[in-house]
Amino acid sequence: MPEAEPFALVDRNRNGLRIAAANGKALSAGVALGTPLPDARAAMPALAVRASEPERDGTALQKLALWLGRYGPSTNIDATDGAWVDVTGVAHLFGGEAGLCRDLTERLGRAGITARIGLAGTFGTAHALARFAGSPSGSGWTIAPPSTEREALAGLPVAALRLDREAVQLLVRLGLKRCGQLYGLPRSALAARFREATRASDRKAAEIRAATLLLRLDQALGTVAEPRRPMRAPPEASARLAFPDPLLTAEGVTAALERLVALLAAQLSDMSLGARSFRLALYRVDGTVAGTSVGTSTACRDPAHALRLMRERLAGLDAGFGIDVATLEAERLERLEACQSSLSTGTNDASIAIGTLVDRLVGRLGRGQVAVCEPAESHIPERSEVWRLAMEAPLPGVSARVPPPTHPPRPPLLLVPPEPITVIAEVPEGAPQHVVWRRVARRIVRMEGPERIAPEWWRHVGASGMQPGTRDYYRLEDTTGARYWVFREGLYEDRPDDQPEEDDGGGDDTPPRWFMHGLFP
Amino acid sequence: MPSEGSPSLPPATSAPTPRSSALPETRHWTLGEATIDARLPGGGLDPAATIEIKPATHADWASVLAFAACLAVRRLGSLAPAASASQVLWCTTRAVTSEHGRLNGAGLATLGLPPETILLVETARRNEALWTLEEALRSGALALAVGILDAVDLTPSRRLGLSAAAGRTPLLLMTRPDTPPALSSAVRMRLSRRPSAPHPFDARAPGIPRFGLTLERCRGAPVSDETVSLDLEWCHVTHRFSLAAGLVDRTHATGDARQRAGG
Repeated sequence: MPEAEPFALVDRNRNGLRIAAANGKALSAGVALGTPLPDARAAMPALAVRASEPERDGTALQKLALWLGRYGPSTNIDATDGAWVDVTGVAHLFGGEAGLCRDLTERLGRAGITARIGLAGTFGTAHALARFAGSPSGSGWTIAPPSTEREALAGLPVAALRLDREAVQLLVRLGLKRCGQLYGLPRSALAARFREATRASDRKAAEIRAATLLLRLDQALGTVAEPRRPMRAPPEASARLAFPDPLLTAEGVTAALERLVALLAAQLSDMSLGARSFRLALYRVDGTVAGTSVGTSTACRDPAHALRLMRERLAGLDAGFGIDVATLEAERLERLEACQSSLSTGTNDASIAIGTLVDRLVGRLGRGQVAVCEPAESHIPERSEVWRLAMEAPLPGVSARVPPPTHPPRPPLLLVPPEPITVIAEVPEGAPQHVVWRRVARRIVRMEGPERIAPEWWRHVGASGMQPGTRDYYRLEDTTGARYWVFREGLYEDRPDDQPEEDDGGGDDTPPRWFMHGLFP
Repeated sequence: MPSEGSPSLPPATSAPTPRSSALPETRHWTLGEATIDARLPGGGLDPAATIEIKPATHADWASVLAFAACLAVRRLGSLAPAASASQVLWCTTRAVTSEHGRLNGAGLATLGLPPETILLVETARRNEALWTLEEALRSGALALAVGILDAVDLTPSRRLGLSAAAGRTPLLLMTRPDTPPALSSAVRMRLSRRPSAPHPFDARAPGIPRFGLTLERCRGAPVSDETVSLDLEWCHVTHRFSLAAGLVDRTHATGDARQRAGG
């Protein structure tokens, strides 16, 4: 929508359509925010109107806050109409605070966003300046030099203090229209005035409002600290590179990545730390962010390894119209002492080599694809061990040992879940004579068993999805020489003419069921 | 007894010493059975090449997977005790896992392979599996890489062979029975299941596993017009293969057992 046309967004509420936002042309023609649409139309018949979409606004703000990461590590959205970024110690990169604001305004302007920027030593003052300060010389930004929050706030309306509508109306009724008027007031008197001005039933709310007012004022003036929650926790170590000419080619990005990794590795080395995860963010000139993150199975600060992991991910990266800022952050830091690098080019230490390999496999295939075997606390065959993700398990080679082989042999291949089979036996409790598995009948010539494995009575779901029963395992060999591990879940002892026993076996009235559980060589 | 079945062998290759598997063969990746080892170039499997194992039929996959685990045991045993590489990468696909079951650590331990040595990778696509195997072989960090694939074309198989040579790491490649063999493998075996050995104490029970092994291809082996086809059995105590004893009695033994089981 071009700036030349008067334009507004409307909200539907209880009383009909109201103006939620308007552009400069409409505002200057007398369209006030919050007025009903018919009134606004009366003032300006040519007003173009669209329905406002708060959800999409929120999404766009999130993206904007993410993009602001190019100016500082901690950012987040602010209320429903703004975003903040902590620029402590980074202004010099842009030639001072004014330079930073100019850069930000220009970039947002190119993206079609008219920005109003407030920069101050406290969060509350910056919030107020961005929304309520008329900027000098129409530049779009207002900067409060250090420890001048009092002066900067003094002339602003009380609404700038992030108060609710009732509180603002009350203050205006009391004649307190500017923040500066609040400075000299006795604090207890302010609360008393709030109480007197409201009905008796709202006394409690009035006290809360008064307390909020004082807190907001103190926070804006910097006498009370205000905790902020960034979208992501700021990294403990990070490296940043800005490029005068946007990077467009894969070679350029790779070269930049090499420098970033080297910078970060030097930082980590100084701190005797290694990272388990690296996050790369590439800021494109058109205001979008591309990024990737890689994880490692052990703490790492080896530039070559980190570089190789990330290069895998750069393959599908779209540079768009070019990348002008890149940041690399180290996350999940762990203690990593300096160690002697090997003289030969090959890695001598097997654990390092295997860790490197695991990282590469996980980086390319995904976390869920690489696993190591770990024993688990259960005597049920399929639960007695788990294949844990290699990234979460301790390093291969140092993992806990699975108990040594027991005498009844176990199959090297286990069907999970066990597959139901049909079994014909001579006598109900006897060994199988014929087995039908996967629709093929197999005649059994040799068998060994049963080996009884009692159920875990503290669990409630067995192989058949019901209360687990006692398992009787058999090793079978058919006429072709194939060997199977089958089991019968449940017992035959529950005869209908018997007294129903409250026993652990068999389930209720269901006959025992047979399952194929493993394949022997 | 292993040596009885092979009277025509050159005696110098390896004197069969049934109970000490460790010392005489530490530097060689052999099967531990003189008849078959003598057929292999250099008296053992090449530790920097591709060894392909094909099941004779689809029903033989369980035997092939177990045989690969046994070869892995042999490979780990052939390395020096303080060798840096002690992991086996087992690269399989989801289809194989759902069809033939997932690896069971306790069962591997039954065969003699410590489960903590296995690094299990499950891939969805063939290209991923090939990349994984190449990467693993080139890293040189592994004792052995095991790959289960449908088939391997000429170019990938050559790449795998070169990677194995570059990383000095052997590759056990298992492919479907009905696909053309990989052309660059140094050794190709075809494996089928066999009725197990008689149980020493219980005639009705299955005994230790037996594998029917045919050497289909053996690069650099002494020329011979007969194909080697043997029945091997795996001993999980001594960690070595041996010739199935009493080959001629097998039918009889099976029939006997069947008779008893049936009666």
